[in-house]
Amino acid sequence: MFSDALIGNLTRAVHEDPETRLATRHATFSSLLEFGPHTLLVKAREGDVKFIASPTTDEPWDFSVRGSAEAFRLLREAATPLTNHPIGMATQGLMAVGTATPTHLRFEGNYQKLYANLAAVCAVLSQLRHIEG
Amino acid sequence: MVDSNIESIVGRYIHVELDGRDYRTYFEENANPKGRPIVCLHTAGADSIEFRHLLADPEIAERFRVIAFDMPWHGRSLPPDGWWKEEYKLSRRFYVAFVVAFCEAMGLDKPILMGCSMGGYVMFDIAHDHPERFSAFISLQGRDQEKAWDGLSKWFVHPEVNANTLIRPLIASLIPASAPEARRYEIEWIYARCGPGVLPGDFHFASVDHDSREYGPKLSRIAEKMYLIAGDWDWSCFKEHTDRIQKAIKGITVVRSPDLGHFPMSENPAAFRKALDPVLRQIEQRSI
Repeated sequence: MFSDALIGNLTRAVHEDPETRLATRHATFSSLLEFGPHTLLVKAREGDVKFIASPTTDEPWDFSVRGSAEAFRLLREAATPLTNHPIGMATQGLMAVGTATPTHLRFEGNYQKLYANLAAVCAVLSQLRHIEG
Repeated sequence: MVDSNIESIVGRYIHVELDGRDYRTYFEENANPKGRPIVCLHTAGADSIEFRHLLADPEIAERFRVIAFDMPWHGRSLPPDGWWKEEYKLSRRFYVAFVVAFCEAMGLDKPILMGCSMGGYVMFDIAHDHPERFSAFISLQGRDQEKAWDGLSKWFVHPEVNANTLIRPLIASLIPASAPEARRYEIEWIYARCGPGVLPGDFHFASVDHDSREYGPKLSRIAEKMYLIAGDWDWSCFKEHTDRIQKAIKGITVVRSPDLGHFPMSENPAAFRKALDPVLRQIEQRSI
């Protein structure tokens, strides 16, 4: 899932896309992305964004973004914002009447760090829609 | 001489008195003072600029006098003196009373009332409390009850979170990707200008004070005046929410649009007109 090619393309996209550069320029957080058995650490320090596949316990993180392999597939689809925008994916089940609408993503951990960096996190995640790999 | 580069929208202030306080209230209107009035209520944390496309619409202006105002604490309607000593919390009582007081101050006779999101929620409260004062109620993305918004409130006033960057992805997630790019970002900008503590204060009405489920069925008596327009691309207003309202208010006219999200009038003016036109035609025909 988090192949070298994907990480290379994601790193390039995050640093080259003007909107993402603006959104991450002061972002400082470490976030664990976990989709099924696959993990990727996003480490942002004042605009320098790095990605580490399968991080060890040497790499602490502030908050996690978790979902299934299907959630990862949805996140990368370009056409349907209701289900593929990270916020929509995390909140739609909470807002729904009953349980018919699933929650695809869960944000957990240090919420202050999450909300302080939410624009940057969403900008980085949205790049997954635009890259190959 | 009228400069063709100047839009026909005019902005002015009116003094609205409520609870012994003077609220200097900003409003904009289109260029048809003799048209049938439509009073527009903005969403939580935003202001009347959300209706700029409708206000500038020449076809609408042929028939309607569109008026959009900024609630106190929003846009160009400053909060009353002493705001720095009190936490802003919009109550159902104040919201309903202010909308009525604004329309009275403007001298409007049974205007059409239209509002979006929290402005769509309050539509049911005003219809319940003052059914005779308005000729129609158009709720955009309306809900009879919504408990989740208030859960975010703390983070919009937290000292280590920048509220105007936090709001942007939240707003973006409520807008369809099919909306024109410039319009999508326009809404993010509108929200990023929100005053301190205003969005949490509005959430107090939306998630705490508003609950029209109990008297929804009573609104069936004026169902011919009740309209609900709801876009599909909105994780806070699913079809099941609309269905619940439709089930409670027997006879309400409901329009669901696959092309709209949480901010119909701002995000895609053409798609909004497509959803709104049959509703306005129906209101006009009913009045003949």
